[in-house]
Amino acid sequence: MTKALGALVVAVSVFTLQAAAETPVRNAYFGDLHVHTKYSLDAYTFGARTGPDEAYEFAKGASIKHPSGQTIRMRGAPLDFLAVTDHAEYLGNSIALDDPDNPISKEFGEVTEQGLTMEANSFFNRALNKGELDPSFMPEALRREGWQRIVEAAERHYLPGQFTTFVGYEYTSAPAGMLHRNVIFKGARVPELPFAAYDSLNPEDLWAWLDRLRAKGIEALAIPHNSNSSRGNFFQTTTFAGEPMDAAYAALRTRNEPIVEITQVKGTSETHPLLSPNDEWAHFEVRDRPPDQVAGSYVRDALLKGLEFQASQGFNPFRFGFIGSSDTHNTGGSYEEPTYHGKIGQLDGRPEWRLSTPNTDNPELNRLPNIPISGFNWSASGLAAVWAEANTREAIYAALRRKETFATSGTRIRVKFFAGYDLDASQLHATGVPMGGELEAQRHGEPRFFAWALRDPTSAWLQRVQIIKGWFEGGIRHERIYDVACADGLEPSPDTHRCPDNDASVDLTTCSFDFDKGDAELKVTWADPDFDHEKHAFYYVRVLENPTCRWSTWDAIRLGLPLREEKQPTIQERAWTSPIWVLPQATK
Amino acid sequence: MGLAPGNEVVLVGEDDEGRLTVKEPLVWFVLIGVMLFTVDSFRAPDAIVVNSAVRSQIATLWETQMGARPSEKELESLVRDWVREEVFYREALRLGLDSQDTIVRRRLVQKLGFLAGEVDEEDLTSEDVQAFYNERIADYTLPVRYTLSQIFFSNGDHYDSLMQQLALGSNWMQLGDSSMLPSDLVGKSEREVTSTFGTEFTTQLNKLIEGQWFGPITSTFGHHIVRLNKLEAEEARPLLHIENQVIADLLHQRREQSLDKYYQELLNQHEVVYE
Repeated sequence: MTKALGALVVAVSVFTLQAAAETPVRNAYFGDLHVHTKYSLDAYTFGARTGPDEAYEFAKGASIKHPSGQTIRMRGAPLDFLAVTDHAEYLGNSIALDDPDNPISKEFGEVTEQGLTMEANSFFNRALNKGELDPSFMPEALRREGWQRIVEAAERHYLPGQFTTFVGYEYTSAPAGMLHRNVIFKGARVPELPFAAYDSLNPEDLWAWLDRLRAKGIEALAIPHNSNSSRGNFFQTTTFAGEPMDAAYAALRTRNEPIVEITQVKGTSETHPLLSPNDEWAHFEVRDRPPDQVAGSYVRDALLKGLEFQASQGFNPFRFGFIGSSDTHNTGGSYEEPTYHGKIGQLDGRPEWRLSTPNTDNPELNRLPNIPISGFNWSASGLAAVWAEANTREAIYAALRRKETFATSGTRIRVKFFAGYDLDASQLHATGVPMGGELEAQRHGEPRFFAWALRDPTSAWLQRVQIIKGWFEGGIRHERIYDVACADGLEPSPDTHRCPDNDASVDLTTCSFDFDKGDAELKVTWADPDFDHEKHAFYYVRVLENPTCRWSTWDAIRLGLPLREEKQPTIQERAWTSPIWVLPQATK
Repeated sequence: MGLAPGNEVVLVGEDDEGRLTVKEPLVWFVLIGVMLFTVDSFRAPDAIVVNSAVRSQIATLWETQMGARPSEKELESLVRDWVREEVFYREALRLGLDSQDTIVRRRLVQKLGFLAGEVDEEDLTSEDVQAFYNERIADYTLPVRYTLSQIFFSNGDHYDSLMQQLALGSNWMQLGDSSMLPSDLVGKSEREVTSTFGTEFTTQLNKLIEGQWFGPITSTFGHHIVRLNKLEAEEARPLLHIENQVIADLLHQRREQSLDKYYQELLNQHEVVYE
């Protein structure tokens, strides 16, 4: 019987008429492109004693040692890809510091005369911020040794098809506010030494260096991050030297920086309530900053400025997609609220050190003035996600290049986003452009937007899918948030473009949440009710989960102490897709 | 020149706070005379001695830093610096600046730790490594791993027709509803399967039969027909493949043990009072 059926199978399968599967088939892969190990001098001063090998092991699901002494391991699945991105400045000094008899080790002991971790760290930061690094403290042999170890670890842990590693590092320029970038290399061909802040504080020089490497067959890109800490400098509308931008500048920048990090442990850089007063979700894990430092520090604002450049001058210096990453200095990222383990090792590795509770009598805390307070504001975020054909360097790097990427605040929401004039949901790539792409507006008809989100089965259900539109009209930058799909069978109001509240709640004594609110999947084809084919516009998707406990709430419950009032006890985990730009025909 | 008064110097007084004071010029004169005499005739018990061992140590330090041996002239100046440092160092100790200083405390503890925790890799025998590996075998064991394919469908009523199409040999990749879930998982642990398909799905994994399409399996997303392509049992990673890791773990354990033992020995010499 089975054999007969087998013969039949062969005969029939040739003639089976089925809708062809989507080509190319792309899977969502989740990773982290911003991880510091002990080879970052600041991480070393926070007590990190684990290196790139442990970073990759952690990403693959193993337990590693946290600087505070505890053992850390992800609750959820291993990551699909990872890049170790240690600071290029003072790279390798940790090797010397591991040996108490090394002269550098002795010297560092003098530098840190107060004996405080913070002192050592501010030594590092002072040097970086001024671009003045002590040459006696960074012998070239050590830099080479450190870089070599990082490169070799990436090679050692790369398992094509299963786990992808990238060689990377952080370029740490901070002349006045952070202008930090992570540099990610496509393959095993890498330069002898990284381009660092002591080579130049001007990121334009970094891009020129990347161009020169490319000419030599070494492919890499730079990923800006922490624009929220740049004091408005990240997305200035002038060059580093204060000159007007031009098309060549825009090409140099976008060629080397196709994506930015929208979220990480030091907060989310999407937007700020002062910039987006009509966005009720704009306060999500926002880092406190003086109001005059808000403009120029957030990515949505930059995308809008980019449209203005495009419309008025014909080039766009701010055309980028999104990823998230952790920026952990513990060798392993802290992506999950229930097991948050901080960012800076011995300074915030335990709940009482990061002031998760109002208990400020602890003398331990007095030795660390400022840090725990900001540590309390930090966020268990985020992840980088790509749509790629395979879990390999080639496929994932290509996804980064074409911006077919999305960011999450730490959970593994999956989201697709396409736009097109004859969009067919079964043939998305053939009939539309994916996230990160550009669509030429047609004079007739209207584009359709297809947004599709799937929950992380280990986190809360989905609450809503939003499309965030930015456009330039009448000399003014505009933005609008449209709820396009609501959970629980609800419909967005055509007037307010908001879903009715689904009343999903969280029990703050146990952190358990409603199991009958929210959806596992939300899918919608949407038309922009305000579409105008003559306006420059971008659209990106934001997916919101139902509320869950913030890490500080988990901490307080575990310690049996009351919650602090400075932060709300719950957050809505989320995902952001790279934008799709819809541009008028003439400017394409 | 630093002052190094020996106990034999009596021509000094004490101020209100107990510090040594010398005010009279004549006293100074006598004092210096006594010192010159002392230095010339015999060595004070706490003299700063610059001998060949010290010179060699200074030279080696310079060499590590600069990459070359110091010249005679350089060494001379290095020695002068060293003496100056030594004088200040002794004075700092005398004034008790080392106590209650966190970095000094940590540095000393660290140095002691290095000494006490010193474990030589040479001392490890292959038997030691094998025994340690056997003892910690759970740490070196890969969990049960699933390799599976799945067809997703949201309407549970479609189960029968899908199974029928499978029986007829339809290309499974093209059956069911399109989904963002991966259609194949290769060698994933239960934890990894859960993080993709959820707990509900994982609890039904034991129903699967290798090589056969089975369903419906329900999940938070809907329904699935699943084929278990391969089930890899728990498996200890061969020592041969992970020897370096095992050796590192063993050395780490020995270091910790040696330190703990040392600590206990020292602790026995102290009385600790918790108030």
